[in-house]
Amino acid sequence: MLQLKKIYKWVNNGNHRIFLLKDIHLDVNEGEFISIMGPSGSGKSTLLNVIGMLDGFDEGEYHFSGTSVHQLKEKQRASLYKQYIGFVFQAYHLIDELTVYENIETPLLYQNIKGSERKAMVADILDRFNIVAKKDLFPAQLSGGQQQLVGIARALIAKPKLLLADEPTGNLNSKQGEEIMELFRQLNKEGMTIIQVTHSEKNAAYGNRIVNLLDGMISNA
Amino acid sequence: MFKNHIKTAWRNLLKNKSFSLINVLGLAIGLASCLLLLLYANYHLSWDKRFKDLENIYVIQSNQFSENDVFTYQVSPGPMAKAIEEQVPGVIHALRVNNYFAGGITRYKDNVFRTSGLNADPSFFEVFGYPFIKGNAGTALSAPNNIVITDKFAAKLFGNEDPIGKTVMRNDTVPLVVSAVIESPLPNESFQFDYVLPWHVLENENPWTKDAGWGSNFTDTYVQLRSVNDFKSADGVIRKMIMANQNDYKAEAFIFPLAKNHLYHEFKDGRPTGSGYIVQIRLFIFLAIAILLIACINFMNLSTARSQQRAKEVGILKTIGSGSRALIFKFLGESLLITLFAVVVSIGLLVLCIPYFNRLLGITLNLPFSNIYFCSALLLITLVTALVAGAYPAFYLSSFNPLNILKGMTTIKPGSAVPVRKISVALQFCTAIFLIAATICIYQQVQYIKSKPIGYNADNLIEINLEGDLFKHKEALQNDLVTKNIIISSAQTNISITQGGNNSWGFSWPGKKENEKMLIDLFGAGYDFTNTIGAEIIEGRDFSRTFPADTTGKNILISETAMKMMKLDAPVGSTLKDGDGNQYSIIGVFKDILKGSPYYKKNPMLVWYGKTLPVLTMRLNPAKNIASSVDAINKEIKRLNPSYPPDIKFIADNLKRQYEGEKNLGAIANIFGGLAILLSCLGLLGLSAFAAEQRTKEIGVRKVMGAGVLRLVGLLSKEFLVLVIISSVLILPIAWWYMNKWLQKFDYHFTLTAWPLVAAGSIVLLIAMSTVGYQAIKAATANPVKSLRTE
Repeated sequence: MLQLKKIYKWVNNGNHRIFLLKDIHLDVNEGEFISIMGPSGSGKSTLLNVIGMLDGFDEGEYHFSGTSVHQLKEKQRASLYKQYIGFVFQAYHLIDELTVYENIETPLLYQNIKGSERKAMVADILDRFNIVAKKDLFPAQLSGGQQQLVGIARALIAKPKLLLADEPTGNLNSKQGEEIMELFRQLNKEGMTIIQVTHSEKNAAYGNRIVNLLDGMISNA
Repeated sequence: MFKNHIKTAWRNLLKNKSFSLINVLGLAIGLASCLLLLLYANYHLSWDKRFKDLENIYVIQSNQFSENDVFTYQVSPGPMAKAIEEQVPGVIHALRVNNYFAGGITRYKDNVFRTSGLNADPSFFEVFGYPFIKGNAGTALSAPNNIVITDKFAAKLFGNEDPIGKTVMRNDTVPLVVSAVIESPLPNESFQFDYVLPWHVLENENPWTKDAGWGSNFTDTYVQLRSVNDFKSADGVIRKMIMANQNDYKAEAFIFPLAKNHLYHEFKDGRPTGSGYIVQIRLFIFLAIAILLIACINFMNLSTARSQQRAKEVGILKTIGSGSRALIFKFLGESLLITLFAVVVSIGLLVLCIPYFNRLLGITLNLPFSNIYFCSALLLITLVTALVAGAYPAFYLSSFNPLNILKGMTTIKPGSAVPVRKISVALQFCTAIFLIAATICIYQQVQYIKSKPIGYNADNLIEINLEGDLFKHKEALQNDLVTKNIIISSAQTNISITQGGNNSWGFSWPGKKENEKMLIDLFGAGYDFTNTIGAEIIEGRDFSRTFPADTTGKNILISETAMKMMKLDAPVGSTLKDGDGNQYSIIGVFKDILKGSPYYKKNPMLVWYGKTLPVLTMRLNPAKNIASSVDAINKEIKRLNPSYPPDIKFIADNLKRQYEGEKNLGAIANIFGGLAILLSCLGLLGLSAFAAEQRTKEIGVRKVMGAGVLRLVGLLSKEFLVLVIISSVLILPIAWWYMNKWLQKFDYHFTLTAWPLVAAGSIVLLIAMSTVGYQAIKAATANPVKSLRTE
């Protein structure tokens, strides 16, 4: 599904060149559930952002579903990730001024989907995540686990092919975290490709492959 | 999507109530001031615009030549209109209009009113297109006993009766028949009247006007031309008219467009300068735009100050697929929403303050919601304001890199926008300081003038016009009131003592040099004049019944200034000669009294004796209650002159009016000074909030390192207070220079000291300190754990 080849990313600090990512090779097949692990500062989030096309890289090739991402312009890249990728964040990043329903609906607004269709899609996912009763609440009225649930629902609403999650359970207690990971496993079973960044061995074990990063390099694959 | 934007915008407003309030209020105040100024400008710009043929209507102006100067007055001689109509090519109508003699008392049955009017030639209503409610323009003034009344006056005089054909009494002597009812003049028109009378009425009441020749300027003349192309030839002929008809008289009449008469009425060397009141109007328009711009800049400052809070939203929206353009529209929509609120609030403010403004300036402004131009202008202003105020924040916020924001790096492009904002805030403070300094100065000047002696005692001094039968019974009135102890003395005068009146260049005095000329104010008075008003005779005596020679009119009084300027060693007994060679003997010198404006040097003054004069000045008995004395006098007047409503004026009130112009100026400077402070404090609030937000982390770190709240407040406040101090240093010398220049206009003014300027600077500094201090304390007392935590 996606293929990273010889990806380098660096920042220049005076005469030094500090590598954030170094010679990254990564093939991800459809239906995989990958956990990226590594100590703080090893480049986990950077890698995830590169995969998610939120961040660029300095050298290398990136193919996504047959498209050469490194040759695309900013705008084309944006439309590509809009269509295929959903994001889940550690801090949920819900919009405080919108209700649960509206938060979930927002990505659809940017894809010019008709009102009636939007309604059906949101209702569908609310139902599936068992949060119909909460649809008119604001994020501040929810627990962390519930907020993350909404975050995931929002990431999935546009039917992405790839779900990227940056420490999705980092702000949650263990019980809430478990629930979220169970949900991920369930999604993966249904065919969703997932890449998550995590610190926790336990959470990593939910995946079917672990990528270890150290100082910007993949230490085993 | 649009609905969604409105929804988030609305919830955002609700969530940050104080911020929204400040933003809406700031913008509303800016908009209200802007609209008020524009309405005021429009009020003057649409002067006389109701007259359909305005561009072809001209008014006669006359250049009067003195030895080395040309004076331009709007006057013309009586025979001119007829001559123009007969001799000048391209003229449709030429007509006389005069408002000087037309005022008086108008009665219908028991309804009596003191009224003002015009005397005009019959073509008046053909030239000036007043809408007729009843009757028609062609015949309205055709009969010599016609009267055309306005609808407002008709309602007052007749109530619900049909006025047409009814007879009203003018001054209880002249019966007039109502021939037509027209719409009342608008407040921003050159003619203000209750009725229009045929010219014949004027000639009947003032027979001298029938034979007044080309040397007697007593009326206005208006000319209607066929088209603009006729102007040059018509003007050329008219310029030669006066001198061709009158020997030994150097004057030149010319036609001046009525459309320009209100705003471009300034002449120099006999030519229009192209300037006039329009200068002030332009200033007001400029001010209106400037104030709105300042309000917009504040809006920008406050919006970008909240960028950190909004950044997260931007980041999320961008990662889930929003493009920059959608975000720009989103933020513009938000600013449009706030602007709409502000417009509503500003209209509320205007509704509240327009009556006050009208009273203050003596004008009639209103909010013409039924006027399509007004509404579209309002819409345009709303849109432009929303765009100007919202564009920068919209582009700024939507340009955020989502990755940086979500990583918690929100200090994007630190300080990039600050210099512009700092300059704009500094400019606002300059304005505020300047206006406050001006307010204090104007106030001091008015106080100074008020404290100057006027040369007589205005307390308990009243005056009445001897109108109707009162003129016959004036001696009876005087004696009666004195014997009843209501007044202690009274004197007749030719005009009110608070009016300017006549003056003359023509006098010569013993020891006068060949080229010496002196403009002397002339004033007529009867017995007991100085005694009644409380003026002081410093040499000689007042007119007196024991000197029958006084009644010949050959004996006069002069003022102290006149004595000094004529350099008379022994003034009493000296002889003055007027231009016709008549001789007058000085019998007394009195200490200067104020006549005309209190701000300018008193002219030398000459008082002549008159036996029967039209104004009666009386001093009330100070031992009695003023209200009951006034009642008693009213009763007495009513008895002697039953057909006229009594009209007693207090001299002190008349004097007060002399200060009103400057007082209004002071009030306006005060209002806009207050606004300027308010707006600049909003700007400062936005700027300091922004800075505090950008430095949240720094403050947190410093706090953890052990910095006290006081030091942090100092750190945060310092740069803004420096801003205010720099503004003060920049503007105060300019204010000093400008106020001095303004004061030089007046012959009498106080000496400008440093304190109004220092006071203005201090006031603004104090207000700025409390504004910034509030923000700084809020930031400095925040829990550092919060600001240092990264999610």
